[in-house]
Amino acid sequence: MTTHAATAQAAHLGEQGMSRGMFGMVLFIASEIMLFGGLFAGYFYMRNQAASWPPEGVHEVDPVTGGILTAILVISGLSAHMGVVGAKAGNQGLFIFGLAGALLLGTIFIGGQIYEWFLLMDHGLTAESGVYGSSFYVLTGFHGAHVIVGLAMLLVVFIRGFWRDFTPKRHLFVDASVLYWHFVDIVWVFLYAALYVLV
Amino acid sequence: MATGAIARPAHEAKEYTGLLAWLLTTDHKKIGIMYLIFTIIFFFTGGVLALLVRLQLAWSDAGILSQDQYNQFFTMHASTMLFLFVIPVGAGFANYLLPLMIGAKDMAYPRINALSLWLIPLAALVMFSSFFIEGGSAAAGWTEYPPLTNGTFMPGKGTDLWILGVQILGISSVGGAINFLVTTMTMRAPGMTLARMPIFVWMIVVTSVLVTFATPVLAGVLTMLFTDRNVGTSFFDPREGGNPILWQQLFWFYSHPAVYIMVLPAMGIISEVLPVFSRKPLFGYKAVIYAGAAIGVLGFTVWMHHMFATGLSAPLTIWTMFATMSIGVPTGVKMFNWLGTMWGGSISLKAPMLFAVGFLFMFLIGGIDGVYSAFVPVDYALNDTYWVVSHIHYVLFGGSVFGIFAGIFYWFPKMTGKFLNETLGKLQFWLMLIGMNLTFMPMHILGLKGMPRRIADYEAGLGWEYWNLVATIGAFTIGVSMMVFIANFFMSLKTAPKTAGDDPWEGNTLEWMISSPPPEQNFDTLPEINSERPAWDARMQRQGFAGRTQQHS
Ligand code: HEM
Ligand SMILES: [Cu+2]
Repeated sequence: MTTHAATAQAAHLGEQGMSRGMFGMVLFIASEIMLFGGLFAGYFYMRNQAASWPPEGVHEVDPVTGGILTAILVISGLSAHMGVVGAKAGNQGLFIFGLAGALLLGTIFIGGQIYEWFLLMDHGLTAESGVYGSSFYVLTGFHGAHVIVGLAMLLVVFIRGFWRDFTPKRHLFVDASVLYWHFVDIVWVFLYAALYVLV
Repeated sequence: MATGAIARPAHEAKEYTGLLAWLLTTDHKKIGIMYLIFTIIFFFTGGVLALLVRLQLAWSDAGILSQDQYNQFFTMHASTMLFLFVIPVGAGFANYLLPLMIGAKDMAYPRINALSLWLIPLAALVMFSSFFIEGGSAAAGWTEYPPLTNGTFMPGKGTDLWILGVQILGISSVGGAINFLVTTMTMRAPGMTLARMPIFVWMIVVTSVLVTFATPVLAGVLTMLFTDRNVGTSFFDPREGGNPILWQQLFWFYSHPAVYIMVLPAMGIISEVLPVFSRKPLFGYKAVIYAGAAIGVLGFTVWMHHMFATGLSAPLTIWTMFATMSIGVPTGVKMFNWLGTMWGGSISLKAPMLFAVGFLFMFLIGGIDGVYSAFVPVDYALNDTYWVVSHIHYVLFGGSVFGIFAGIFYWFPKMTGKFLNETLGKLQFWLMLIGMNLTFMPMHILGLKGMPRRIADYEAGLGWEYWNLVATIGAFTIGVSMMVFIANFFMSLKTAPKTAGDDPWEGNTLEWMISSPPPEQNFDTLPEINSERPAWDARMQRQGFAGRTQQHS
């Protein structure tokens, strides 16, 4: 019977198009966007039906603290980007510097957020403080969990890169992880706008 | 043909045997078969719960189940059937077939694939364990509406375990969906263009897009319910500024697309079966794909037809009504494609074909029911009555389940090299068909007579007794048909000779060009692909027909 000249002994049968790993990450991020989309929709639904926002008598979150957190995360994103540039150029120094910076700032962000949570709880804003508190803690908590996942990925990138596991041609895992990190950053910017700034 | 062993690279060479070969496998075919086995076991579990529910409703004041038991059993019946059977069984077929059908060696991410599989029994353990704890399982229906599901009315941990189980299944689904999409987009064999992919693959693509985009919203809203119950948040508590309607909005934003997640794979299956047993190409290949995609897109716009009775604003109500009815259009297009495929064909009514034809007729009834309930004034009357239960089951049992059995009878020879027994298959089909109509047709009448769904008992003298008894008899007829299937399955597996060969049905798609069961690496040599029916082309050439199949679309 008719068969193609090429046999299928090679590991990949007719691979085509975008790199497989990156494509998977893009789809994963798309599904994550829907996750946060649903949460945001819920937030605005409740906000819209409220008589006033923030509802009377609750302790408001502080845009300055949130702003500092935002700045930290955005700089961390820039730093991670430097790491990718380093990996692409084969510049190990830049790669290590960029990723170490991103990891450090990301960790500071998580620490800062936990600190802020405790501070707010001291002022009486808890998850039980009506929908204002509910949505603040659930949204930032969801996001925080994603930051931790992102940090774990960056840590793996860092360790593998430290042992020179990537080359200017093979650095898919760096790209995919940093793309995820950017996603986590961007979600935070929207969260900051919705939870801290928008009046 | 194409069965020679391949020397594998050293790092893959460690071979497990026996049970371990299955438990530790990342081979899509083994994973697919395990998906099918697990999900069919859950199908029977859900079925037993359904029979208990029907037994309780057979007579007024039957006294077989307590009210609490009744609530738990109907809730877990639906949850099991939807989340542990219909949704993952589609992924099971896709796992086995999709790589074969596009000429790939395996899925794009074999280890994530194994993870998606094993999360399913884990979730089942979590959900079913709730039967053994204080307060029992979830009991507010598969839709779990607050305030019924808040900590006051449902204090037991059953609801929390239910949430956890569904979350785990969501992770499994999304992992699977991303895997299918990446596999389809990056691992097709040379010549397998998008416009030549089997319809089954296309329907899995649409399903996977729905899973990727809808399931995360469910994850979000389930978390909100979980924190409402356990952390003291108040998303669904109006006393604290929340709103239970928010649950319905987000839940149905997922769950309406989810009904297409449940039926599109079955539509893909019958789109493969009907042409083969009509000995004709599928009528309107492209139309079926476009209609499937249209259903997928429209499916995201109509979720509020589950909420007419909540007092939506008039513009929303009217929009949702028309959008919902418009889904009837692509669905109708598909119907015509399937009927057109059979039209003038030389039809052979083997078991797979019987189930596929059964799908057409039963799904048609379900679709018509759906369009009825989409009519707002009609829905005001029928909402939360047995009419809706009837609609659900004509589309999901008459549609999805018939399609799934068409698939089982059609691909069993590929998976095992043996046929399922044809006579028993026909017996099962007729029992199922009669049983389902006895069960679900009377529910139309009960609905029109105002019998509410989700009640554990009813008074005598309301005119509901006769039809309830008929429905229960029908349900047990379905039960008998399943016993026939189980007997057929084990008998055929044990005693049937390996007579299927590579291509028992004269199929169209690539999986019929390799041995049954297929070799570990699927294809030693890739067949030539010049149309959407490569196996047909090759057969024609073998039989000495000059030229290729005409392109039709
Ligand atoms: C022609 C297409 C369809 C239309 C117009 C339609 C319409 C509707 C409407 C209006 C309802 C709400 C009834 C009520 O609660 O008052 C409904 C419920 C439902 N439909 Fe459909 N439907 C269609 C197809 C399907 C399909 C293909 C499936 C699944 C495979 C499906 C599964 C369900 C389920 C599970 C419910 C009930 C959910 C619940 O409340 O438990 N429908 N449908
Ligand atoms: Cu719907």
